[in-house]
Amino acid sequence: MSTFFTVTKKELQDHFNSWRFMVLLFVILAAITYIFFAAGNIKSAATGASDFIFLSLFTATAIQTSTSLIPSSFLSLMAVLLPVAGIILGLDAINSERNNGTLSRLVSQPIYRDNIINAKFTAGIITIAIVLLTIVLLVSAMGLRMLGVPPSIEEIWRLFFFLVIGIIYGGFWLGLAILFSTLFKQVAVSAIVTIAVWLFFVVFYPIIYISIANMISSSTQAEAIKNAEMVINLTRLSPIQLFNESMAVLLIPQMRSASQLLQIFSTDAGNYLLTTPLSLAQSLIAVWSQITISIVLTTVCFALSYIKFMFEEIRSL
Amino acid sequence: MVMIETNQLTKVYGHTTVVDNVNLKIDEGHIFGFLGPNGAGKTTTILMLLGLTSPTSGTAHISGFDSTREALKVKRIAGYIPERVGFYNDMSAKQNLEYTANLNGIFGQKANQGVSKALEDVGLKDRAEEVVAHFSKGMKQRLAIADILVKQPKVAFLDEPTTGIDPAGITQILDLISHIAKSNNMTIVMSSHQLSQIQRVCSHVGIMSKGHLISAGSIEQLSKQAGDNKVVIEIQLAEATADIVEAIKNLPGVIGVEGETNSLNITCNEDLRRQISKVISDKGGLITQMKLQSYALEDVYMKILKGA
Ligand SMILES: Nc1ncnc2c1ncn2[C@@H]1O[C@H](COP(=O)(O)OP(=O)(O)OP(=O)(O)O)[C@@H](O)[C@H]1O
Ligand SMILES: [Mg+2]
Repeated sequence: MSTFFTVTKKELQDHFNSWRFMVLLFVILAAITYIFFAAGNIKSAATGASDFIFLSLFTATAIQTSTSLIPSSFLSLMAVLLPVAGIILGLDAINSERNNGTLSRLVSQPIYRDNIINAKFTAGIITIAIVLLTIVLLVSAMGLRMLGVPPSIEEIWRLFFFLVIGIIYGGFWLGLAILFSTLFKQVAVSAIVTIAVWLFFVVFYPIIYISIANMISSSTQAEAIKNAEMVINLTRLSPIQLFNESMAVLLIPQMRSASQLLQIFSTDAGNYLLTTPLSLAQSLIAVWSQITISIVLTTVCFALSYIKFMFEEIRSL
Repeated sequence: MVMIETNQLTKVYGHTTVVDNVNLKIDEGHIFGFLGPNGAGKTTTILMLLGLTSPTSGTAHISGFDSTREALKVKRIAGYIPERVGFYNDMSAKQNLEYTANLNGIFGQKANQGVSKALEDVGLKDRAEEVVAHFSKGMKQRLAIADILVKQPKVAFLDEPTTGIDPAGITQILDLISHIAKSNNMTIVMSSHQLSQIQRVCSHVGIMSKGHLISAGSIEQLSKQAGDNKVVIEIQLAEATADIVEAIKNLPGVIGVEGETNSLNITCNEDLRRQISKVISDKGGLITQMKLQSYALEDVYMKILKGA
């Protein structure tokens, strides 16, 4: 067994024994309760949907709210909870060990430094995967009882890709949190900065691109499409938007990605297309670029953590 | 055999040279004391030797391995107790050491035995299952020594292992250090601000100040270099009669005798322990303890401290 597995194992044990896991458990319970209380709404919405009844369990509006800050469906709940999980698991990965004086001891053992970061990331990803899988299974079980309709094979596949993308999304925030924990010596600072970045994308970034969209005036249709495209690309700089878009396309088969919609409208290809669901392969192709960008973003977080951590001098004070 | 060797080892931070062309050689099995005031560059030198920071210029080798280019090999044979050593507070002493064992490729039964043995050696066997958060500073320091023993290294670097520990604890730790060095044939480098502690366990010493290695060698050698060879011999007698004191005073080479009741401090030109014990036994006295102290080295060190 290599040192990588040794560290991963220890980090996993840490996660499962710590207050973080208690927080995550609480989050799971909250999610389940949420679905439970919204059961009535979901049931009526689900039975209204023609195909893909099972999937509508995850996407149906469960609670009508007037503010966009309260997640209205399971999917939007996950869009909030996954970053929280990633941030909680990663926010003190390196700096707490540094402050504790354990990092000095750890790096003086025969272990490559990149293994330390890799192992911490892997343990976080495994924890996120376990939590997400548990939530999806619990919701599915509840859905089975409520609806009495089992998922189709395609729905299972779509749920599987939902899991994969959800884990990548959680992984991005985990990577970002680990990066800040290597950059800042104090846990409080790295935590605040990570949360600030998240809040920026949740609250302020939409304000920015909405005002930009409002400012642009376009006289011709071609110009309007060009401007719309620009705004769409702007929204894609936000990891939250990337997640929302790819999730919606995967779990709502009728859904096209924003840029596809634009194409459809601009070519006048017809409104009927909008009502036919995409095949799984078409949906995947539609979200491929979003997935790639998410992975690239996560990799960038890593590269930066490595550069900072690999050659850094680690003193015990 | 040379175990630790540096060649023109230099570290520069910004515009300050913190370690300046240090050439050091430490033989296998020696306990080497690294003396110097705050900021002398001791920790930085140790970090470069362990491959935890890279030298600006020059080289460091441990057991023939280059500390920078073969850092992993060096870390396999070298143990390290940092200045402010830490453990995972929510894990037990045993779990902490088992983690170290695993990181060094020791698993299962073998790890278990190694950990138990190490905890026993440092006197923490009864506290093995206890969470480290409850440990005192002294216990943590002993746990750190156990942490090194688990690894069975050839060389160990102990950075100020006695700071923040009470006098009884210091004695315990210093005894432990001499003991593990002997029983494992380990080469030990131990840094400290205090000459008295270094003199108690180290055979060799290096004095560092402002990044320069001012002198290095065996303690006797350095005392001689330091100029006059005045030594003070401390003895404890069962009964110090006036007769005995008079006889000692008359020995050639003895400069002065002072002391109260049964303990005497004898200042002499050279190490006269043999002659003194002979005189005492001739007069029918009984020596219960005898210790040699060289103040010459202390003078040198004090001068360096004042200059710093
Ligand atoms: N990362 C750094 N950047 C700049 N200067 C540093 C850095 N680390 C240490 N120094 C300086 O290097 C000098 C030597 O430090 P070092 O820790 O090696 O001394 P030391 O002999 O171990 O002292 P002490 O007895 O206080 O532990 C100090 O003056 C310190 O301020
Ligand atoms: Mg130091």
